[in-house]
Amino acid sequence: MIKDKLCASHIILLLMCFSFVTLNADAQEHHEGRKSDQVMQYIKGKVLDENGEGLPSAKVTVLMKDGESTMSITDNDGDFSIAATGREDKIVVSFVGYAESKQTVAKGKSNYTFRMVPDDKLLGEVVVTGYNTIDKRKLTSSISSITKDDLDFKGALSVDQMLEGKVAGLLTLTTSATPGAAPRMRLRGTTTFTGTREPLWVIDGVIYENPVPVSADEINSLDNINIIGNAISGLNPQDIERIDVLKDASATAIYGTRAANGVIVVTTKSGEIGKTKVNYSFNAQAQRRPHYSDFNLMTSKQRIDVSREIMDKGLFFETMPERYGYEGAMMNYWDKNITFNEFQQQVSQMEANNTDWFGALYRNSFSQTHSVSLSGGASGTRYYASVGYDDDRGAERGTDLQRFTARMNLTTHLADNVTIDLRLSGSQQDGHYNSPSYSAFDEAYYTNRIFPCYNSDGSYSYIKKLIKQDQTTGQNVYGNYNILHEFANSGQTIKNKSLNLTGSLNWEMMKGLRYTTTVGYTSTSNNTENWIGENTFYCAQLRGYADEMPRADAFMQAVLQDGGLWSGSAIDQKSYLWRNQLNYNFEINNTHQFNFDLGHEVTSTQYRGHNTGQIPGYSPEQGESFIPVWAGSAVDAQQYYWYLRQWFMGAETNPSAFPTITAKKNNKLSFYLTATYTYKNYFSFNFNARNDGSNQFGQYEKAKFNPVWSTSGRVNLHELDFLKDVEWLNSLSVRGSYGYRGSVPSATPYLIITTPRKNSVSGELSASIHDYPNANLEWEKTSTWNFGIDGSMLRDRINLGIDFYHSISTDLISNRSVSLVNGTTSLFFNDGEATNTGIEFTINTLNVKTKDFRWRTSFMYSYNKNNIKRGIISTNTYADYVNGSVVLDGNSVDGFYSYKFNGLDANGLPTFKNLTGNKAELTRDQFLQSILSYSGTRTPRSYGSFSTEFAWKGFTLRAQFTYKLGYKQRLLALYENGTAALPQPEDNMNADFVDRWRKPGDEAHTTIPVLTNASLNYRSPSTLNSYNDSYLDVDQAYATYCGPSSYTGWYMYNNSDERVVNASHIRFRSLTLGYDLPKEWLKTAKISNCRIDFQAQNLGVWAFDKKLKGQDPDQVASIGMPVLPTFNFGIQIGF
Amino acid sequence: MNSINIYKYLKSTLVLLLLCASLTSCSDFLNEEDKDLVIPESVTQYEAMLHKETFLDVSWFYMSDLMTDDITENPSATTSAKNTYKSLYTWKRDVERDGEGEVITATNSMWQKLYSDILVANYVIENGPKATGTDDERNYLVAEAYFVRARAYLELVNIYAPVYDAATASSTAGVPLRLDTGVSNNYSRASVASVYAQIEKDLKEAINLFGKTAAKKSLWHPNADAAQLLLSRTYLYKGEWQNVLDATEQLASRQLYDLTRRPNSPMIVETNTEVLHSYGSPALLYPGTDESLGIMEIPSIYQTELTTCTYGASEDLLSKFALASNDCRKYTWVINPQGGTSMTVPAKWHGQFTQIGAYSYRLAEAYLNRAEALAALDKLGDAQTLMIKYLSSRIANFSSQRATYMPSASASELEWRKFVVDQRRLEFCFENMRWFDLRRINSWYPHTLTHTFTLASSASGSTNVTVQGTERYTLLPSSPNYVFELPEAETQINTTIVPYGKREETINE
Repeated sequence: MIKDKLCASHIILLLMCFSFVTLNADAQEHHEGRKSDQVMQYIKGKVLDENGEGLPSAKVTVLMKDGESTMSITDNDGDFSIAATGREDKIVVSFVGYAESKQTVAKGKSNYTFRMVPDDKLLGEVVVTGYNTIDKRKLTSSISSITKDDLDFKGALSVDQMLEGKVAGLLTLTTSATPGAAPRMRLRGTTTFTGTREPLWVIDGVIYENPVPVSADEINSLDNINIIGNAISGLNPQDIERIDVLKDASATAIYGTRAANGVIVVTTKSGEIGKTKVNYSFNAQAQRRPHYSDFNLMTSKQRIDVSREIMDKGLFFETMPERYGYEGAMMNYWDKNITFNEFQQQVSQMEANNTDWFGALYRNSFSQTHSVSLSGGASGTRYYASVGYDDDRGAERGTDLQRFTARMNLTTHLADNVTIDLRLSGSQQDGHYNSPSYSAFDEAYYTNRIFPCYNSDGSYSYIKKLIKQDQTTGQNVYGNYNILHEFANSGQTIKNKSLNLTGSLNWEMMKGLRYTTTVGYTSTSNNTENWIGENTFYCAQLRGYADEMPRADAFMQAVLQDGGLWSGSAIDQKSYLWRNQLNYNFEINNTHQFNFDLGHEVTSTQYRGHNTGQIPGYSPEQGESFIPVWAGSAVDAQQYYWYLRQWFMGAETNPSAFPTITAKKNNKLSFYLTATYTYKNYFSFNFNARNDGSNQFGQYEKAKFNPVWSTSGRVNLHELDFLKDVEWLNSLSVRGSYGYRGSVPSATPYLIITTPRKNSVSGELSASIHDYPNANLEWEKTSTWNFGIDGSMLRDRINLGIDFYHSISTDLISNRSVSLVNGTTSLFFNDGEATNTGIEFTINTLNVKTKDFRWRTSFMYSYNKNNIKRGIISTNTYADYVNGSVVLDGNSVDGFYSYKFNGLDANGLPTFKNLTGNKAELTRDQFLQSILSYSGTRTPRSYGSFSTEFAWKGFTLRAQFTYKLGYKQRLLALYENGTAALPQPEDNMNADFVDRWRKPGDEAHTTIPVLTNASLNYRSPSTLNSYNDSYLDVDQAYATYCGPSSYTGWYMYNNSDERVVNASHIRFRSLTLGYDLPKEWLKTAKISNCRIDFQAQNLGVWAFDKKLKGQDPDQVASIGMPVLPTFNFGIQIGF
Repeated sequence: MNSINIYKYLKSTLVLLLLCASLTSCSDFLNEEDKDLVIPESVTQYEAMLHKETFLDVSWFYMSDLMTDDITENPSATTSAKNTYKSLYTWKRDVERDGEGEVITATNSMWQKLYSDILVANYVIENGPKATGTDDERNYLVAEAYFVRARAYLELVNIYAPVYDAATASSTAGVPLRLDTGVSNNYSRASVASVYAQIEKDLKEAINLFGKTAAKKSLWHPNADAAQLLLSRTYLYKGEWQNVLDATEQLASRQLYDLTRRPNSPMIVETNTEVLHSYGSPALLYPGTDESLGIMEIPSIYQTELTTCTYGASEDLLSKFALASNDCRKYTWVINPQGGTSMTVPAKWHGQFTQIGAYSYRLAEAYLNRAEALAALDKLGDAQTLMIKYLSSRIANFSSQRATYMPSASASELEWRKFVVDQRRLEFCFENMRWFDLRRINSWYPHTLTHTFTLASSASGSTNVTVQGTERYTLLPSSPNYVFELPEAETQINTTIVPYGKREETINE
């Protein structure tokens, strides 16, 4: 049925094309006919550009008095000749990027010169949606545009890092300063629970996909750094001409179902007609490494004091500490292994060490970018070509990234009315990182400073860390551990290559009728390798012994007998797009303007690749080879194979060595239509519709197609009579839009089975159900209202824009418990509901303007409130609440929960509310909601920027501040991983501990618990009656739900509301001093322009919550370094 | 001039391009799938799923025997060992609690499992006809799905709804009928009559489709004969005697397996023509273990060691067999590993008995169904002939014991019906059949069931058991506890469905 409809619409489209073609042929004949029977005079002329050089391919039109017209195009030298009747005809010359120029034909004059003036403003007066270009005066939807000049954040590898604070409604969260790490972006909040929340990237009209299929959970998680690369990894910011951010339903409707999270449309540079211009730009960046002063951590002296107190108080450790550090020296002294003098000497050495782990693991880094571009054109052909090279070194030692990009954009006229545009680009990016098995930040932050990093001879200094207790001998087995050694013997490389081709043909079939066909092909390949060497502590733990040759039985139980571990993945992505579009516009009586677009699009994205899983035996020292598993004798081998099988099967403790294959295909077939009607310049009305078919619904015909539509309008109030004469008002317009769209759910409707295999009982092929079918699955639906006001006043000194939006999302997919009659206990269900309400406000002012001096300011404010109307009904664990993966009514999707801290008790131990005395018969969720309180959202509710710029002669000084308000963060854990009551000798401690509870009564003025060995496990039935203060009392019926079974109270403390801070802050994002060298100076060197910039970034942050103690509020999550102070020197030279 | 040529060129390319677009998009462009997931497409894949989900893994309801007079507890086993299934064994009001009152869902998991079977069947019925393969293969596949759906509904309606009574069936609430793959949270019960009507319809469709295929499959797959047999069982449960006769006419004329001749080799084997279909793997007997065990084993509650065995065959059942040495059923169906007075346990899952599945559809049932219908229709002579045929295949030298073991030709119709039902109990003991039979025969052949439960404990590490007392429970023939309550997991989410709500607390006397 649907297929029939589909074919029918094809045929209609085809028929329309035929009729247009025929029409066009008629028009052609008519035109020629007219020419022959009129008496014409030929006039000649020349069109010059701003430099006085001939401007080829400019359009010259003669408008005759009788309403007829003739048209011509200038040649390579800018000359033209055209027929005119000579009776007060008007000659109009137009060219993209220049203001229209007019002259009236004068009697007897046969040679005319036109000097074209570039019109920057004119360029700014359009928006680019990727499907069409809209005159801003007719724009009915909410679109923010940024030009290349706004992209002034220096040294950024990719453009997403530059957008923070540039677009109202676009939230950028930089989670990591690691080279190549993509920031998280949210445009106008979140309209899905389970689907991806990142906006769509479109470059020159073609959707770019991520190089690796990433699950929505991974993309959405704020605790996950994406260093694999995203859709725009291969795009050099220097090649960008402009960016248009499509925000409301009316703007995004044309992108159909993919546009659920907004669309960012990037347009790359095109050449300009004229002589070849060469541009070189260079940027050098120095990044300051993190220091202990950025954090609130103990020095080795302070830390020894704590150890001393622990030993003096005679607190015993829950687990026996290892023999290193102060405690180790003490034990050695007790055991008479060392004398008191030696002990004293060791301790004072430790106190003096005060190792700078941040210095050992981080560095002041230096990065550079180079970019050369060529642009020019003649005789209807324009080109832009560029190559770029980036060498980005991370502050974390061992992380760096090199990227090479190249681009060629070519536009040429095949005929007067046929243009071809070809864009070819490619990139290669090699990133090197430390092994993801360790976090450099955690190592630096949590490691005790009493341990030296190097010995006096410069070699690594190791601590003897416990590998395991040997079950046969009962002896502890130790291995050498130094994080630098681990990092030196492990690594990760991520390589991305991309090749993109976009070609479009634009055929002006007749006046007002245009046919465009676009073909896009993008392909990326991602190659990731991850290894860790044989002599690391990490591998020693897997082996169960360090370097020495072990006993035979230990050897046989070790899966990793020789070599280290290696895993690799290689994934290719290719997508293609083919689009056919007809544009028809006409005008009636100069009053009624109509514009129609009708189009058809086919897109397909495919991923193919594999991930090897963790393979043992990797031996880079032996020539990058693998040492095969040991065969051994039949008897010995049996035991070994059992362990090996565990490995390959993917037992809990070991990763699986089985490869996984990725083979995904996403096909889409779409039709779209836009219609715009404009009455004079007074008002515009627009309607957009698109119907997408997706293979994601495969066999489910009814859900296969989903219409997306929008309607919007605009009134230019300043054109109306009553405002026309208000002098101070330059323009004032109101916009409004309403739209409806569906988006593809992240869940699959299919029934998926496990790979069929022979069953040993029946001998027949058998396969279990892997995923139950969600036959009712439908598109998630969102309807959005948007109202906007744009105005400018006092001769454009003040420009402002306000947008208000409200969106209601229904049928959001959630995995919820269902009636068992469905055959399973939980299914994906179109059940959720959420709203997003927001305001965006932008004001730009030109405060002072004299001949040599200008002062501009700009302020941007965005507010978004995400409200879950109907969340996910399912059974959640305490961890789901604490890490914020619960989706509950009335909250934000990024909301999280914390335990309710109830102060310290008389022993200095933390207490929590509602753990006891709960009513019987609570469900697990009811109990958890009773002991946990909603902390708020992890994404800012309000955000924006403020910037100001002074320009004097060639100098510009610009400062940009960004702010984020109304969100919460959890402080870095006071007790590492929430597992240790007493710090182990190797752990550093937060300096907050200086203010800890020391004596009864302290609980009145401190919330930092006592130093204690109390484990604060919750009482289980077996420990219920043992009287011991170090247990946590929780209602027995719910005890197992309340938190982890060991160190429960400490986990609760780390995750309590006491450790939640208001992360609202203002950041001094950048300060730029630029200087344009005077043209006179450069003339002799044949340089047309030269600009020098100094820019300092992330100079400071002002947080409002005192608990942060000056710490960066984005740093409190321990997933890496979000932003660091950086200093840039840039130079741009044009020849 | 130049531009006109280009127009012509463009015109033809444009038309060509658009044509291409129409052709590609009208094809299967939107039906392509991700290839890294196995979405069943071929008959082979559907069969693999059906095989695993509905023939290897079947309902846990084998525990139904715990509620019958075929089973008794082991007085020498500890209370804690027996607690798991105590609620079933003592017909508790709330079966989802073990002997200590802890929540246990396994005892009422048939609901979810059977509806999962129904989902699989519905999915195959909806999509199987489009599967890649031959017509023969597709017909066989879909026929199997109809069979599975009928089997699941027959069990569901006999677990969760009152017994079929022609007079009230259309007004008695049965179980929800889900016949497609649509998802909902609000399912209501369909009437008992409509559930039975659906079962009949599905079985007839299965027989029809089996008739349209030339494919031959192993006994792990049902076939037209098995569907016919299940249909006769359905009629038997409804008491539609003439239909039983029609459905068994062909089956009951076929030769039975002579158990008396081959007592020491497994009965359920591929070559035995009495076996129509066999299903159920050890996975259902040992939840959590996968089928890689590869051998049929006895469920843990019927362990052969005296101390670990928690439940076993009842004396009542054992006494009903004919002279032990002659009744080949007895020494094939049960084993008494310890000898003497110790527990005798079922052997029907044992490799000595079956080389295929744990349960089987056998011609013997056609004989017994037919005999019962004949007796009910007062065709006692025919019933007698049939029963002689049946018993001769089960009891050695049956002709010599016939007079003492069988009612006389002049016995009443009721006496004959009771005799057939008693023989049915012996033939199908421990095969999930007795509970269903008790439900339907209680109106004319009432059984009051009594189960004793010995409270016993043992010191940790010791094998000596101290008996602390004995509990005694009774289930009256008219008890509402013959119907199961819905699982709590269902009633918590599905607010539309009406719980049964009539079960009573059974009391220790």
